[in-house]
Amino acid sequence: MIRVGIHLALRSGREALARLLVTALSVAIGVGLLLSVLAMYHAYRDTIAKPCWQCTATTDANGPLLWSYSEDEFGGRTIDRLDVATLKPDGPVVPGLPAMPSAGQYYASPALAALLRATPADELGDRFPGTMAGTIGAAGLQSPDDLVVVIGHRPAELAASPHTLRTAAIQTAPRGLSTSAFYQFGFALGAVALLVPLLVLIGNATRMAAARREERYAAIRLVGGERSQINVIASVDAVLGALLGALGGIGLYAALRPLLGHIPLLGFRFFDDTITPTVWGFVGTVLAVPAAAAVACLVSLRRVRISPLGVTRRVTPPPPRFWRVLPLLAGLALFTIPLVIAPADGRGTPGFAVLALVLVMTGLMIAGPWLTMMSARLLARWTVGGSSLLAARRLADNPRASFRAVSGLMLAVMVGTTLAALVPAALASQDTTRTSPLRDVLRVGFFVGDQEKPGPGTIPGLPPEKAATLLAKVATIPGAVAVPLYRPARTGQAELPADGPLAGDGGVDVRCSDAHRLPALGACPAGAGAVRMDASAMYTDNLRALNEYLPFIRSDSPVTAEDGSGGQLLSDLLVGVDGPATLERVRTVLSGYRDDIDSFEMPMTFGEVGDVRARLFLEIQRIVTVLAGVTLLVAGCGLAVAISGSLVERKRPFTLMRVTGTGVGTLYRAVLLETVLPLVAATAVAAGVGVTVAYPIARALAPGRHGVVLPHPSYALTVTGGLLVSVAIIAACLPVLGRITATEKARFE
Amino acid sequence: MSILYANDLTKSFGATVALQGASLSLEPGEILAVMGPSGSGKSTLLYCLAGIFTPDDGTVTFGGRRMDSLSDRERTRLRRTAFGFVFQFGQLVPELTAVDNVALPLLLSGKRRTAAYEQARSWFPRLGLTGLEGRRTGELSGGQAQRVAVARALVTGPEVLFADEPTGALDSLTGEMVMDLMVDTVRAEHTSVLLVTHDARVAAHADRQITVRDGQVIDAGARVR
Ligand SMILES: Nc1ncnc2c1ncn2[C@@H]1O[C@H](COP(=O)(O)OP(=O)(O)OP(=O)(O)O)[C@@H](O)[C@H]1O
Ligand SMILES: [Mg+2]
Repeated sequence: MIRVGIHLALRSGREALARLLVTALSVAIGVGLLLSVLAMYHAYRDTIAKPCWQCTATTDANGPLLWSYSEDEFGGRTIDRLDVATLKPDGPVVPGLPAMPSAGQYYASPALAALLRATPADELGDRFPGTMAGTIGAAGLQSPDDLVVVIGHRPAELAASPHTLRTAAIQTAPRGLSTSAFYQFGFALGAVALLVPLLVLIGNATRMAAARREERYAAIRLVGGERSQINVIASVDAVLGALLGALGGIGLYAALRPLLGHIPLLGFRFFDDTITPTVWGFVGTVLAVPAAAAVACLVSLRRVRISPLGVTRRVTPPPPRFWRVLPLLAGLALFTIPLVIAPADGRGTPGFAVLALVLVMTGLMIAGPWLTMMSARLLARWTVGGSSLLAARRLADNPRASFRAVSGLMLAVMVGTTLAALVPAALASQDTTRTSPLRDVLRVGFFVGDQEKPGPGTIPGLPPEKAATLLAKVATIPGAVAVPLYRPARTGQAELPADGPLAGDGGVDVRCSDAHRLPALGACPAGAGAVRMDASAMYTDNLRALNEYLPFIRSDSPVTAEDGSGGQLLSDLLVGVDGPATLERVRTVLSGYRDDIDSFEMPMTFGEVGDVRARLFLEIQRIVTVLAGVTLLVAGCGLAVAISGSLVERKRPFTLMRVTGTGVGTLYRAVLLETVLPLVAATAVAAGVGVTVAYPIARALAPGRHGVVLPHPSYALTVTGGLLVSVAIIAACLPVLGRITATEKARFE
Repeated sequence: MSILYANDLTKSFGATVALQGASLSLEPGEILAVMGPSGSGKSTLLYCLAGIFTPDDGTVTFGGRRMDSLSDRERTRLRRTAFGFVFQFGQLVPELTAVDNVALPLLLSGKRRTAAYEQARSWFPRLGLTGLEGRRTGELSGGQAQRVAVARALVTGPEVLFADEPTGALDSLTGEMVMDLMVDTVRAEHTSVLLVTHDARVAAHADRQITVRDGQVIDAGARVR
């Protein structure tokens, strides 16, 4: 019987073949994207599960390793730097290394090794003492782009450093990403957002023109075909398309695969070999998609009674009722309440929010038919004319089928709206200003109070002799302008205002002759030799906030006699640079002073600090845009498939109407109405739901800025854009109507 | 000894009573015409006799067995092996070719593909359809499609052919030709026919005529030939 099924499926003429191809193509798009999502998910899981050896912090007085981890910068990228000395053999080894480097050797990640080859030594290479012994393997890296170096030392070289700890165990637990919750949420959101329209697409495709097949099933029953035989024949039909589609999807995935490697999902690229849906993913897809198609087909067959005289619904479905809106409302409540109640508590929320999101999305699907019916009633009440009558009839007769066509798109709009609302809110809350008069000024701090930054030790500031050498070295770099800031010897001598930006004891002393060289710092009061200025704003990563504090030195800044000459400790150093090479040379000099700098306070320019934030969010925005685009594409395909299906399904009545004198224009308008109407109604609801979903998240992201979410132009853009695309898709499907109802092909005997 | 026998059938659709106490019998090899006005219950009677509908009351006996108590499965098997059908239109699968349609019942019975198609093809010359085997049935003329339907109904060698207005959608000349071919063939095959029609000229092909009115057989019908 399976052979008969295959035979019938393949021999049923060009239309059936075209249908099979459309089904296969749609399923292929769905499966291809599904596999891509799976592959990225696998890479993501693999990457976040990697041990964070950089996080090693457990001390052991008898451990075999002296461990000093710090971070450095090059060209806006962070370098993970580990200085290590082996006290006893057979100690633990950093993952990805064959052995710990011996003194005078270092291992670099491949990306850093490439960078070292391409960069003059005084900009980068001189920071790392010794010779390169090899590269770090993937086990020790999260991304092929990671800049990592592990440098071997003699124990005596490290023992004195305040950053050094003695340890017995390298951390094997993964990094507790502070941003991981956010990413996890984003990932889940994206996956759900893409998956639902994907499933709708696959479902619509396999179900395409089921009614046309039902005609055949009645004929089969008439000549004595049994139910089970019909089930087999129908399943073969569905499975054939789905199987072809699944295989095509694997092909599509193979084509997409090279692109996936470039997606910086976590802000960096994944290792290529981790991006795979795994063998089980492939096998599962090839098995599950056709199986699901068969099951969907059998379920839809169960709902009809195929008698030899034709196919009838088992029961005429009652019109959709109001309760269908309730799950949606429940989902919205579930979504909104926890975020409103505890907006600051980000920890438990993502999983919960994903659940709520799933509920909201399924809720939308459940509520859809009711909305469709309501819009049909409005249509019937407000309009006159043949096409609107036809459309209203169709909508009222089968609101479920009409809604099914637009459901994927509605979800896409909802997700699009949510994202369009979220991203600007997130960006606004992050103040990603990238300009500042201090953009090209490097800042580095030599003072760490232990009450602020608990660590292996307090760093009091750079002593005068050391500071003098450092300043002399920086002075030899052409294009570098150094402004030293000194710690006041005694606080309270020159009083700072009790409030405002200059409040607190973040004051540092600066010589006016130095400050003069960086005009953005401001001008000293006339005749002053040195002033006390507030430096607390210097360590913000928010350039807008920084700019608000500028200039640091004003005409009313307190004049002080402490001009750094009296043995004051160097607290901070500002270095204006005239270009990237100068910047890296300064950093190379500074890397000799790592012991005196907080190991996590990398020497960066203000511009770089601002860019890190901005880049992160721009990347998120880019991913979100791609995701929204793909979702829209998938939903569009789903819509096209559903509409073509519904047209083919009604080929006979439409042809009849044309034969009896109904203009094809009337039919076009009727089809357009019956699809656009639920689309508009659903979109309006989806956009509303999107805003409702986005609002609490945006609030959580930007507490205290409740107003930022509404209104944003990108809302209107997303929604209108989505609608226009859909109408275009529908319009593109209409010629099918003209073709299949061509009267010269009509046959009614 | 009649091959098919109905006694006192009643059948209602909701409030509509389609049959109320209809009885008839069909002899082996006999062509029986069922006449009557529109809505009188002719088609319903035919569907009950063919096991497509189960009557609310009354009995249908085929080959000595009670049909009305058979399971759907067994009635399906009967349709496949012992009955053939020709309706006014629409009983062919439009997107399949003519020969596919004729071979379909054989394929469903589990016959080998080559054998099924060979057997199906052998019917085309007999019904004047030579050369049309590969046509899709949507692309045939009405008379051709009805002849394909006859071929499909007879290909399994049924004992009874149920024909409901087989020429109803055809002009009189074409209808006449289809009837001639059909009658010649069933006589050659010695198949009994239950022929529902309201056209006296079509009924004239039958051995015997009965009339249905308001769900009852009011005229058991004399043998015409
Ligand atoms: N599926 C059905 N549901 C409801 N009523 C039906 C159904 N089938 C037939 N009827 C009703 O039963 C009665 C008999 O119908 P039937 O089709 O047997 O008439 P008929 O004699 O074949 O008429 P015609 O010559 O027009 O084909 C009619 O009143 C019809 O409306
Ligand atoms: Mg009838």
